[in-house]
Amino acid sequence: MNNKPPLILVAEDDHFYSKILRNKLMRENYEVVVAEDGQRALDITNQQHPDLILLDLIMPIMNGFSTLQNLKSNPETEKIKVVIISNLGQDSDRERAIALGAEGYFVKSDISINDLVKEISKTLSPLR
Amino acid sequence: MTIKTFKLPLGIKIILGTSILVSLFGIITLFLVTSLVRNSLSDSKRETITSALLEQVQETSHLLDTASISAKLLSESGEVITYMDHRSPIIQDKKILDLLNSFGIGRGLSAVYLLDSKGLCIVSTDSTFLNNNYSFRSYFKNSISGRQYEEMAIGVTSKKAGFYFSSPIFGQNNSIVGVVVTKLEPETIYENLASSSVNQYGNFMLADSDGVVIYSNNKDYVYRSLSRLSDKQVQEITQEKKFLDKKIAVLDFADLEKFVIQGKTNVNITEVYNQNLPNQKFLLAQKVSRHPFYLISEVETGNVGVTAGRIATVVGGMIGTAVIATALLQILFLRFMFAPLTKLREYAQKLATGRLEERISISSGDELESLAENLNLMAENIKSKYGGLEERVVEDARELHSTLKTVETKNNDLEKASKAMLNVMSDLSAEKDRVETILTSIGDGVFVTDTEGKITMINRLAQEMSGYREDEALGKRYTEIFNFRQEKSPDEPYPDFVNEVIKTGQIGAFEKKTVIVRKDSTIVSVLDSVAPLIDHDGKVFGTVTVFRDSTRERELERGKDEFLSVASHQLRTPLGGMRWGIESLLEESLPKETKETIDQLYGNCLRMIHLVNDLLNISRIDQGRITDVPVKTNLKNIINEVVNDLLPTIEQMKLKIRFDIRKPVWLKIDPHRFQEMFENIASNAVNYNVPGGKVVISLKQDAEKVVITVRDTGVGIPKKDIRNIGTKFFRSQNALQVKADGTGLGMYLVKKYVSAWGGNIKIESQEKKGSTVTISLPLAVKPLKIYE
Repeated sequence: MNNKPPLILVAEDDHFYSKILRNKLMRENYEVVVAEDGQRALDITNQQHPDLILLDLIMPIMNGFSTLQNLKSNPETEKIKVVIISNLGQDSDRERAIALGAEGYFVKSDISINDLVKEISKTLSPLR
Repeated sequence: MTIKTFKLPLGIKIILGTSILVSLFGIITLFLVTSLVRNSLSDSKRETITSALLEQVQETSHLLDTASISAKLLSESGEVITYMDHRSPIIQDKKILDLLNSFGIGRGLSAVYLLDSKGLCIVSTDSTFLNNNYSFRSYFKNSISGRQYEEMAIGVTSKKAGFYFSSPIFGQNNSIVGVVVTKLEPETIYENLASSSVNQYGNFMLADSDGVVIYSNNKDYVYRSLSRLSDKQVQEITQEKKFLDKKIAVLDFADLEKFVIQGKTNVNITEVYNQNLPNQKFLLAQKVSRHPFYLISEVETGNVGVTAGRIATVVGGMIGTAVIATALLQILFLRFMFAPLTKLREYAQKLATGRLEERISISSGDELESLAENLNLMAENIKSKYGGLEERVVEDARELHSTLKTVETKNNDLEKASKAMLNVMSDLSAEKDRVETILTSIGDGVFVTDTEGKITMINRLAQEMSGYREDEALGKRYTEIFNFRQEKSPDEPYPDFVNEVIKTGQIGAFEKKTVIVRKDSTIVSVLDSVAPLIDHDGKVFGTVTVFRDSTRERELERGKDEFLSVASHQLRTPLGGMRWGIESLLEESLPKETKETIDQLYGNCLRMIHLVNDLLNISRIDQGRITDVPVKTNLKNIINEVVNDLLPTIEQMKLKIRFDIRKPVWLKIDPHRFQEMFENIASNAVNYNVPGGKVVISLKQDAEKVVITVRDTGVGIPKKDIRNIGTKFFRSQNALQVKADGTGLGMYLVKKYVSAWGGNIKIESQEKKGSTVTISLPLAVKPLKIYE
């Protein structure tokens, strides 16, 4: 087993959110890299091959849905787990994301950050 | 009416007719008879006279013949011829004389003599003639010319009339050498004539060829002329005949010239009527054959007329008698005849008045008898066939009358009904017009179909929105005119909602985001509903669909949608940030007071988030933007999940949860929405409970419904507030005290959902004791289409 801590890509355009997430995740011993828009997220993914992507939906240049679509249609990146973190709460958004292949969908304001971390951990190691 | 009145007119007709006929006939007969008689009398008289005349003619002729034949014979005698040829002058041959005598004596000839070619008498039985020259005589003049001649003349010597017959003597060389003459004394003739029966008929005459009467039984007629002679002729005759002192006057007979001429040409009988004389006369004339003399009988017809008249009288009398007799006979006969006719008439009267039993007997042995028999038969037939008919007819008439009365009444009713109908119809018509106007003016498109989905009515707006005209649309299936499509999946066929409505008899609504693709392929968003048309018996007989162009609404909704999305996002973003920020802070070690403050901060933040979520939810509900994907859902599982999520609070309050769920219950419902609804109920049961309290959750299903019950031992709801539960933002006072941060939106959502699903909710509560919320949902959950 690899002792290298999992790399999590945080694709979030809001600085405050990304900062909190980064801090929290790092405290939980994750490697974190941040992208501020979808395109950047894709680039970083191609470069650094994160283990999980926390993907916001509302982002400039390329939004979360397009990014997701891109990721999942690229054989090299399709296996990377994507968890959507968004403030779009509508069922239609959730369903769309799931349909595109997201492994999880959480409304930021509806989940505590600790619960989110738990979910991330669950997603990364489902067997545990 | 008496017999007499009947009989006589007809009888009189007959009698009069016959009498007139007979009379006419009689009169005609009378005249005919009279004239016939007269004619026949005349005829018979004429015949008689004629025959007498003819007889006389024969006799006279005979008498005259002797003399003329003698003359001829003598003239042809050889001796005479020889004598005349070779005679010596003036010597009278004895032989010849003897010869002449022999002829004369036996035959009553008063003289027989010979004249020479100069007319000198050379031989004569009457010596007084000797040596006289008779060349002046017509008889000499004619005979010396070669003709035989006869005439009556007055003798020179005797001065008496005599008949002279001459014949020429032809010599050897055919020259006429002399003339033989025989003389007849007229007394023979006259006596003969006088004894004729012709005399009895009237005047009887003998006339010569000049028309001079030589002899007559009427002395006045002698030497009178029967024709009008000229003076010259008179002179000649006078000279010739030497009627010396006798004047020849014309007899008063008309047209006897004709007679004379005819006489010369041998016409036998001539009738002459002298119209001037009172008694009609007629003459019968007959030429004495072979001799130039005429016998004439002058007859008066007076006798004839009288006789005829007598006969006519007799005949007339006879006829008159016959007429009267006929009339009388007829009267009798008719009386006899009419008896059966009268009988028949009386009988016919009886039959006519319906007395069919009567019979008649006539034994006249003629057509009347057979007629009577036939009438009897007829009466018999009628009686057998139609006996009793009258009663039946009367009965029928009565029935008919009552029927007619009924009909009349019914007719009146009908009229009233018909009038009422007309009123109704005019009202209906007015109503119809109103409806049509309404439908035309209505701002929505409306179309009506029959049970087969064929369009029976389409208003103006519907025509515009479909792109088809009324005449194109009527009678066609609505799917041919209205091309409904789902906006998102236009290639998929749209469900046949009309058919659905007809089958279920329930009102339906369009799918969200329905559009109509117009005839010209433009698209219009539509929104609306279909309703069944149900008759008195509850049978669906058609549908009415109302829809409107929802393009603007769609835009509005899209706007709202966007707003919601944006709003939710925009609201949540800072809230989320706050939450996580505070959470991060809380992980720091903080001074107690700081931690308390931050806790409170966190609590408020969560409340804010909660409120925002609720508000957004409610907004969505209000706009019907809730997605509803009914699937076969295991309600038990959802209930369990909800309870699990509430575990922290449950553990904290040490509540006891009991499940009263026997078996799993499946319902075709959107699981998310059901969860939302149940969450609200359950969280109320938990949050408003007392520490150590109880919550009982039961789930039951029967043939028609599913019943979910949540019972708690919480603070309850004051009686006055129970009916306000579910009103937007309502929170009762005691609840406020327990949980200040409730939104008052939870029950609103629950109520909205439950009623939309077609279920109902019951809230029972007692303050300080607890509450029971009972929700029942139909097995056929209605789709969640919620409108404020």
